[in-house]
Amino acid sequence: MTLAILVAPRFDDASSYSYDWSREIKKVLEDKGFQVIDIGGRPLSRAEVEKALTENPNALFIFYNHGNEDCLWASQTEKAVDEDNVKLLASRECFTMACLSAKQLGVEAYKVGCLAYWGYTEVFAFTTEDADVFKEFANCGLKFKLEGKTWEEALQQAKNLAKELCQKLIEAGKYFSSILLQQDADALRCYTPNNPPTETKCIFRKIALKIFGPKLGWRISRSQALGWLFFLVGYGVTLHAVADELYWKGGYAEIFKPQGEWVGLALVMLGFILLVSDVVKWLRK
Amino acid sequence: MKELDIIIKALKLEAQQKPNERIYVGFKSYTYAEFAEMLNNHKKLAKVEKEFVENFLKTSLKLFKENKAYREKILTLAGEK
Repeated sequence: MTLAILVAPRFDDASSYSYDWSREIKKVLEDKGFQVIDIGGRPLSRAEVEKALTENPNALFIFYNHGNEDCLWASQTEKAVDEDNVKLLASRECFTMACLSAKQLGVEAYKVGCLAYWGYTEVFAFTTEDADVFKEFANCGLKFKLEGKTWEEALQQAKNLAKELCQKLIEAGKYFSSILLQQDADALRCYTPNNPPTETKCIFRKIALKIFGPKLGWRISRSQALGWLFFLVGYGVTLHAVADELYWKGGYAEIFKPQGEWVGLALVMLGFILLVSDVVKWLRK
Repeated sequence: MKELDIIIKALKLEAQQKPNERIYVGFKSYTYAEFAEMLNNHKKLAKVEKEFVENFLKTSLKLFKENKAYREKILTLAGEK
């Protein structure tokens, strides 16, 4: 039987709504034959969420509650998942209904090998007036997935559904709800190996994503990037200094003579290429 | 009247009609009227709220420009048509 871990803490008004919405998801999962490990309805601790994730590697992880850019909240004070234990999301699919977490935590999850991270890059907002409409939107992605769609198709269908619901809200004269629903839909992301994250505030990451594309761009660590940068700039400076010295010694003729300096620099470059070739292969995987 | 002013006027009118409805934004919640008031004074808000309200205004303006039904209804509600 396929396993799913459903984490839905409840400790304030907003999380009472998200807990209520998660009940529908639990039923849908059970109807589809999933065994659901249901943890929620109260403030939770980080330890019990970690225990469920550790004991059930690869199980589908579903989270309904507050979130932040770098975490999912277990209670008002304790984080269930953050960048310190994000590795627990590796090799599993994650469906979150929480504010902001796709902005940073979802990207980290993608980087450690999370198979799919469904979440929002902005605050998830809803109105009491149309809580059922927001629930329909919030829950639809996992339902589409369980119907046999890919995550990418589910994301597109969820955005299409949001458009339809938004139009209905406009027709009904519910402008607050329509704007907020549109805002939630705009913030919805699903990161998969086929649909990697593309947004970042870091200028170096932006450059890496532009040059190498998202698949490779996210795998280059800061120390790797700095290492490459220092090596290439240092190599260029050395090359220029040696050429300059040779030029003053005997002009261009001296530069183009076979010199020991050139042999040394060529060997350094060859050594560097051999050293990094494995890293490049790993990055391309 | 600027487009944004028309939208805010219409939202304030909607808020008057629905005094008991609330908006949940993360850990916080507001009545429609409180939220509509924030639309006018968003520059004085805390960073997170300010960002949220600015995003809300951006989305509402985008809908106003791209969605005919939304535009017509907002103009009617605001008494600009």
